[in-house]
Amino acid sequence: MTRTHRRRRWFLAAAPLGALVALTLAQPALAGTATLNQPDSPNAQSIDSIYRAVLGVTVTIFVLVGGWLVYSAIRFRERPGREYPDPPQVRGSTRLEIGWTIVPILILVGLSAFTFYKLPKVTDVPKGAMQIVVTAQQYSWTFTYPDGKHPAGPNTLVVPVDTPIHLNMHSKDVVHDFWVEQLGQKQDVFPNRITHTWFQADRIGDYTGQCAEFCGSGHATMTIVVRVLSKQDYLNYMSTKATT
Amino acid sequence: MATAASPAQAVPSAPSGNTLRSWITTVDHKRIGLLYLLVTLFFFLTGGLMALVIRLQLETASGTVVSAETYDQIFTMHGTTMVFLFTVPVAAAFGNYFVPLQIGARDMAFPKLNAASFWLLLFGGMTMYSSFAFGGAPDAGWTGYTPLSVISPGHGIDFWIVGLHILSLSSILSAINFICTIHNMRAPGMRLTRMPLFTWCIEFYSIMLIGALPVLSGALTMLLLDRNYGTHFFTADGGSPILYQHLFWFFGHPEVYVVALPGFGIISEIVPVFSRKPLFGYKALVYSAAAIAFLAFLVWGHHMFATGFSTPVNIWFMVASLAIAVPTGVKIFNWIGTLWMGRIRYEPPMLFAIGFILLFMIGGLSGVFVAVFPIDQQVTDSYFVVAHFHYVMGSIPVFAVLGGLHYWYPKMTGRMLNRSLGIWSFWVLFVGFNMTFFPMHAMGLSGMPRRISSYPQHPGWERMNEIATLGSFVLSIGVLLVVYNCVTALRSGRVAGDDPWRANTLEWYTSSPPPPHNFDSLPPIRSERPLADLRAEAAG
Repeated sequence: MTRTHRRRRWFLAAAPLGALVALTLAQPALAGTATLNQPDSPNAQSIDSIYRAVLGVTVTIFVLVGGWLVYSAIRFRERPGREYPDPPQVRGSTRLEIGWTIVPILILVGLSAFTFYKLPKVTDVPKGAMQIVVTAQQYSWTFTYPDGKHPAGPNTLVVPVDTPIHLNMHSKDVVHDFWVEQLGQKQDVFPNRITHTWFQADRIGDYTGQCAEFCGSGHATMTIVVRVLSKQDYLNYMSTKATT
Repeated sequence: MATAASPAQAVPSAPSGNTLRSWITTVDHKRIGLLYLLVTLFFFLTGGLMALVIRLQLETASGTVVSAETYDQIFTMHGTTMVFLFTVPVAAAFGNYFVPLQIGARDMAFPKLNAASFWLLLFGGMTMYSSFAFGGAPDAGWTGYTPLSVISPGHGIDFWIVGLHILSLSSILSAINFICTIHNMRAPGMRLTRMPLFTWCIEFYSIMLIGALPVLSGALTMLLLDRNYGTHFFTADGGSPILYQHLFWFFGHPEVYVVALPGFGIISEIVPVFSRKPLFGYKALVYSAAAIAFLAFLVWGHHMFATGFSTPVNIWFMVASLAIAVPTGVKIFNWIGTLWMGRIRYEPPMLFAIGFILLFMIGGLSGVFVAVFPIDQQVTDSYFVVAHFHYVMGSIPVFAVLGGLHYWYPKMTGRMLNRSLGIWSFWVLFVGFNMTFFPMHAMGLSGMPRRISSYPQHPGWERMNEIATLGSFVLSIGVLLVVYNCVTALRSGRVAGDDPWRANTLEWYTSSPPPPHNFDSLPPIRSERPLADLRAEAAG
């Protein structure tokens, strides 16, 4: 068998292997280790699908190129105690080099295109979202509702399920960052500046998050709980807390 | 210009011999290189000790080893030390020692300035560390984000600013010196197109330092004024905290490649020597280094995807960042192309080089995740990013720099390192490195932010942290093995001879260690591998 044939067979074996690894990693059981935590908001879900696409592509590249590296490193090793002549002194190959410049460009263009296709679902806030003002300070979060009240106390945000929530955020002191991973992307919170993020929880329950920008010695304690209630429970909750 | 380097060239004379005075007053590039190496490796061990405290603190969810305040100081000094006192200046250590040798020069262009760069480095490091004795170290992270760094009490941040100013000065002076040396001191025949890749990479390293560091110095000066003289550049009341981030990362991203390129250079020296082949695509490797150096100045915004840029700005920084993957990929492919059909000798430097390529590939591929901004908006400031930059910024010092140390130790000391100990250190480091940093991807994906001193509400993160902590101790054992090998080989190592590796570049033409004047004579230089040409001629 010629060397070219052997090389081709090796690549043919490696490519499905890469795809297999990518498929395995796509299993939900690996959420929080190989993939992001279970996303429960449309923006988080879109990011999750972009993440999985990038994971599939990068793992395949790693298996192929890493495999090529390890294979060459083993295949062409010198056995100790034997004297070898110099190998052919190849100085490069313009065709190959142009190839491995263009192929990565094509892969990256593909990944970018997929990202842009998914992007509107990450950035666009649905119409009619509930507006909540978020005030960050060392080391707590205050959530103020449209009626000017903050019923749930510091660090806790109570919202109805399946309802778009738009957060308008500012800080009283240093830079903080609002991050509840399962409900979408991080957003830095600055003094003298309003920044925005949004989510729409599609499952009832408590979501934990915390400040993701180092803000001082209490940084680790600056946690966030988003309590998602059914629409009816939410109305009941708000009416009992109406005086706070 | 190429004729400037002759042995007769006047160099300020220094006392010879091995007296303390001769080392303190030395202007010999090789001695200065060794001093750089000793001091940077000392800071590497110091930064490593602080990393162990970090890992011990995070081993349990309650984090009770040190207080939150101490923890903040320790991770700040760990990052600052590793970046500014180790990974950047260690390139100058090898650069000082080997750039003049690789281009067949007598010394650096400005030997006294060279000595000044070294002493400024030591002085800058001491200034920063003296903050521990004066009421507390800096505690705002190695990035020193405002306004936290403006309002941080005590003088830790002021020590940090002044220390960084001194270190920047040291780096800029040494960068100017490298550029002048490379452009004016090359031996006859050593055209730019025949320069060893390591020297090329030091050239780009220097250009990038000169482009990036003044911006950092400007930002630090404004921060100093904000803290002490009532200005409002970055303050919460009227200033622009985000401006600091722009300035810092305009410096900070090129800094990543300032660290990476000399590492690439070292790998590009080792791989062809131990494959017994010329570099596959010498020119492509030079051009890709140039492309990386240029693109590095266009991508700072990818550190700021969570600050709330408009979508077009995000898209620009994403596309520019992804573009860096192309020249980086070219490097990796060309290294593997060099291995292909080679005759690979497994001496320790080669193991380190192959390990580096594999690990850097992981860091490069996780870089694709953080360049795609919607993903970055999930993983930035989480442990995923900590994993990513340790696979990049950590694999370079541990594998490329220690690989370089194994490669050049015989030249610098005249003795061989113990081979089996070298192989053992590699494997221990390789296992320890992956145990420490690979689980950090998972920590970040499961929501763990960086720079937290405890996580009592998430006991589920403990398991991954335990693995990382255990790994960090394995990694430390590997580092100690290397130190032990270097110390014992100094006395008991096998005598190396001029060229123990059958290497290609001029530093291996002279004796080990080289005499003060470097070369008695030079071979003809007709390619980037003058010594391989000599061997081919001798063989007929």
